[in-house]
Amino acid sequence: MTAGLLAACGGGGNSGGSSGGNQPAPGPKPCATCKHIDRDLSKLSAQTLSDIHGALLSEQARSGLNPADWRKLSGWKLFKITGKYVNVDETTLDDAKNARLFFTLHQALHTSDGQVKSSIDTDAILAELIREYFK
Amino acid sequence: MKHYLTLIFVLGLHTQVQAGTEANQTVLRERAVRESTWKPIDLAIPGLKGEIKGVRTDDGQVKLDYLDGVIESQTALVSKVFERYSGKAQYLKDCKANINVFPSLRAIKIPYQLNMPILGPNPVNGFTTKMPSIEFFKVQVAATPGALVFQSGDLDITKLEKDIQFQLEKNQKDIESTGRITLDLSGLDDVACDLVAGDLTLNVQTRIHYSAPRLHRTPRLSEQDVRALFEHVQHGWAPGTQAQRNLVLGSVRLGQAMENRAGNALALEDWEIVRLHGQFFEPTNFTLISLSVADYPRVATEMDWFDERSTYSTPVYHTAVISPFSGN
Repeated sequence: MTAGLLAACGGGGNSGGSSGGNQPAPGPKPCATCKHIDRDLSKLSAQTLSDIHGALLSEQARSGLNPADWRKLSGWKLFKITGKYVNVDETTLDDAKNARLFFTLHQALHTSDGQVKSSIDTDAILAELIREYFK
Repeated sequence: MKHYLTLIFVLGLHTQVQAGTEANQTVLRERAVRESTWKPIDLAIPGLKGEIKGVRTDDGQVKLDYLDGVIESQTALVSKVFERYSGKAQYLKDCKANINVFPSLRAIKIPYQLNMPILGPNPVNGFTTKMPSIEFFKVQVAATPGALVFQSGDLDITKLEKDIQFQLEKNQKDIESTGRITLDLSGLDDVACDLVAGDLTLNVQTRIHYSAPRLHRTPRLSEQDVRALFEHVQHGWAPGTQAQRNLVLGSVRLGQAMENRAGNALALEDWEIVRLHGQFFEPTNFTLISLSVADYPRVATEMDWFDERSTYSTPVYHTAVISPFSGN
C-alpha cells in the first residue's frame, strides 16, 4: 500500500484498533478491512494507476476519435485497461460499490468533457478511491 | 496488354482499398457515420437483366450503390436515314437492280443510346455519375441465306465484323459522348441494302463502365444480436441521475455485451461501441432508450458497415441488336 493510500486510511477518526492503526477517512470501518478487499479498485498501487493512465492516453491518441465519440468509448476503454491490472470483471461491476469505485476512477482520470487528463496525482486518486470505498 | 493493365488496375485498386481501410480508420469511421443515414431507394435501368441498387444521400442526391448485369436493347435503323433515297421501297428496288448503285452511301446513324436514361421512373434529380465509358466492342454479323452480301460473292463476314469493330473503336470517344454509333458503309452498299431489307443483323456488344460509388454493405449485427445486446445492457442498467455516470457505466455494459455476443472472440472495434452507444442511449442525458422489438431491424441495418467502398467503375454488358429494319 502506498504512502498516499495509508494517509487516506488514516485521515479519519479512530473508531477502533486495526492493523497498522490506520482508519478510513469518513467511515466507521477499521482500515483492517483493506486486507480483505479483493477484486476491487482500491487495491491499485500508484504504479498500476500510472500504468493505466499511460495506457489510456495511448488508447485515446490511437483511436483518432473525436471528443464526443471518445467520451462514449472512454468508460469501456478504462474498464478494459483496468481489467488487465486488477480483477475488474462483469461481476465486479454489478456490485454497486465497485461500480461506484470504477466511476470514481473514471472521474479521476478524465476531465469533465471526457478526455483523458494529461497528468494525474496518483496518491490523490488512491486516497479518493479509499474514501469512496468506505462510504 | 489491356488485360495486364486491367489486372494492374484491379490489383492497384485492391491495394488502395486495403491500405485505405487500414491506414485511415478515422476517415472511414467518419464516412460510415455520415453515410449511415442514407436511405435505400429503388432504381431501374430499362432493359437491365441484373441488379441495381441505389441510395439517397442526406442532401437529396441519388447515388448508384450497386450495379451488375446485362443491358439488352433492340435498336433499329430508322427510315429517316434513307429519305434522300426516296424511301425504303425504292431503295430496295434499286438494291436489287444494281448492288453498286449507291457507292457513296455513308454515315448511317444508328440511335444506339448508350446514354439512355440510366434510372427508371423514379424521380432521380441529383443523380451523380459520369458518362459511361466503353471497354470494348464486339460485333457479330448474321445474314439470311438470301442476303445480297452472299450474292456478291466477295464478302467475308469475319472481315466485315472486324471492319465494323474497327470503326467503332476508332469512333469510341464520339460514341461515348453522343451515345450514337455511326457506321461508314462506303463501298458496302450491299451491306446497307441487307440491313434495310432485314436480311442482315448487326449485333453490337459492348461492356460499359458506369462510374459510380460502390457501397457494399456488410451486415454487422443481426436483428437477434441487437435484441440480445439491448437486453443485456438493459438488464444491468442502473438508472441514475448523473449523466456522466450513465455514460461511463452504460458504455461499459455495452462493451461487455458486445464481447459476450461472440464469446469474447469478437474483434471489437471502437466504432462499433460508439455507434451502438448512440442507438441505445439518449445523447443528452445518456439514459437508456426504450427500444421495442420493431426497432431492432432498424438498428441492425444502421450498424451495417461499408467494407468495400470506392469510386471505381462498374462494368455492365450492353447489347444492341441492330435488326431488322423497321419503319419507312
